[in-house]
Amino acid sequence: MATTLKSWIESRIKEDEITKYMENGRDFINDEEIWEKIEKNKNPDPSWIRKIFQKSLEIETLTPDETAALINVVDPDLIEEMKEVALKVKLKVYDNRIVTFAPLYLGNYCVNNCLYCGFRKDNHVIKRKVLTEEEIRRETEVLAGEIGHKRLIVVYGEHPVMDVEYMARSLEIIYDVKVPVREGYGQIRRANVNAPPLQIDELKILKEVGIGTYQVFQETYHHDTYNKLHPQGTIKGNYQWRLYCMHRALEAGVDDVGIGALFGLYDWRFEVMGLLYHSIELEKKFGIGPHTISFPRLEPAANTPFVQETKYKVSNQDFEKLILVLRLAVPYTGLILTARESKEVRDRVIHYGVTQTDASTKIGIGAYSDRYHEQELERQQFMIGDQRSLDELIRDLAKMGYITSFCTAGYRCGRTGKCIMDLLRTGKEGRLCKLNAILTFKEWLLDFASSETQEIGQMLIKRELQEVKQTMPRVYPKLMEYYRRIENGERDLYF
Amino acid sequence: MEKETCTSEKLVKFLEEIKNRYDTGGIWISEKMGRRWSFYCGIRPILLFPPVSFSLDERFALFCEKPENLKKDIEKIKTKLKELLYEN
Repeated sequence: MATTLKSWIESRIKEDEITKYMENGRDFINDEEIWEKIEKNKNPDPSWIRKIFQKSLEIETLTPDETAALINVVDPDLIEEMKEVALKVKLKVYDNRIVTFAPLYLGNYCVNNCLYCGFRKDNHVIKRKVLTEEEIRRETEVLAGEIGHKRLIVVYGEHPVMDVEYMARSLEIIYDVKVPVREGYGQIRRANVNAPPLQIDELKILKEVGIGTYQVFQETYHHDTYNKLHPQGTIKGNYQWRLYCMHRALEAGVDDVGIGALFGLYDWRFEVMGLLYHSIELEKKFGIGPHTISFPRLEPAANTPFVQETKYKVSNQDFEKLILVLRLAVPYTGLILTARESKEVRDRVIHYGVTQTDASTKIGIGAYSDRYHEQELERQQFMIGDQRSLDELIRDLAKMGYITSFCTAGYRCGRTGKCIMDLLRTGKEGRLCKLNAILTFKEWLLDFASSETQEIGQMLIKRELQEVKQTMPRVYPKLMEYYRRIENGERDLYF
Repeated sequence: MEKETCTSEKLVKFLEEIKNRYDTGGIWISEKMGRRWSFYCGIRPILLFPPVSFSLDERFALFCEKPENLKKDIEKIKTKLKELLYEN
């Protein structure tokens, strides 16, 4: 086994699938340049900042200098303006809908040894497990049939027990589950994947089975920090193999890619700039930027002292600001806020342009069907901060005026990749979002909601229908036709 | 380096012609990936009407927003599209 594992590790990185994307032997993250821009743009002129706001409102990606200027805004009044603009940008691109999903961890085996991670191979307090086909099916039945999720982010570790064949098979199983519920049926319609960097041929296999967004976080964009936290000799120790995995995914034909950084490993300002440079690079090379950006903060993990020792912990104030800057810097992208954060933080920052969030979240391996309620650090990667159920979250969002969307319409007809990027930039996607949010929200209320959520949700739908009647009179009759068909038991109708 | 997607100018030009001749609104070709569809090429949605699909074969389908005028000539159009799709 030891030899097999060693040879598997050695076969993972294909140098030619890194170097082909590099320019003059360098990657696209220039640490000195990033710090230079952050320093150069200190004390930005408010009139310039307001011009930048306008650019964001036109759904244009900001330049590194503009982003650095936003990072350097300290005037409380200007930050308040930034909050207003961030919400306006979000409403223009995605309307008032929030998409929900659940993470599904399929295993916690890992060959890497990242200092901050509870799943690192040398952490012997962790109980290792990888789900069997039957266990994957059972987890999906709970998620789709009892909780009512339609989207998952399926999480894999870097280990031969979770190789690409395992990934492909698990996605087939997840898509195959169909559970009768109150009036319709529960089914996962979009399985996004959080996985290690893969090779181009492997990504083609995932494309064939219908992968949703392929999500890989760089963790930290800062080269030296990256090298310190990810021991050399491990797969993850190769910065560029990870950095260029989205290039490989897009080359393999994967439609949507998601990037992210783990905030708390290095200075948050640098990481925001890194995410921007990554977005610009993908836009430049492929005409498609990141479908989503994630910004998790480092959380406590079992037997992982690094988390307590890091000097780069991100305060709530800086966390709010980094979300605002990301919203304005890459206006078309989806922003994912997870249940790592507490309810209080989530309730506050949801208004800063967040588009997706999770609920009924469990991150222990097999935790959804095991029905254990307490968090167990030995079974999970970190602690989660908000344990609200999907029903509770949806109700809370509805009270704030947000409609929860289970829309996966893009995947029903191929409004993906370059096509959806264009729709996002022109504001058309937001209108489709509105229509599909109403239809999928109605489905969910009928099939899964508690009576309290049904009542609040129905009031929200009434307002939304009225808005569509006024703003999109041409499509309103069709919307109402679909709405009634859903009331009569049909499912998966979309615009 | 480019994403593996359709770059055939002829195909896109033909879809543009169909759009104008039959007033279809957005019209595009998607490729089947497991249980889902992925954009291949064409003209993105314009009218925001629910898309209607016409299967071309096991791999591809034509989607359009307003199929009414198109229906009478659909077989002819499908044949031409398949020809162009596999010409690459």
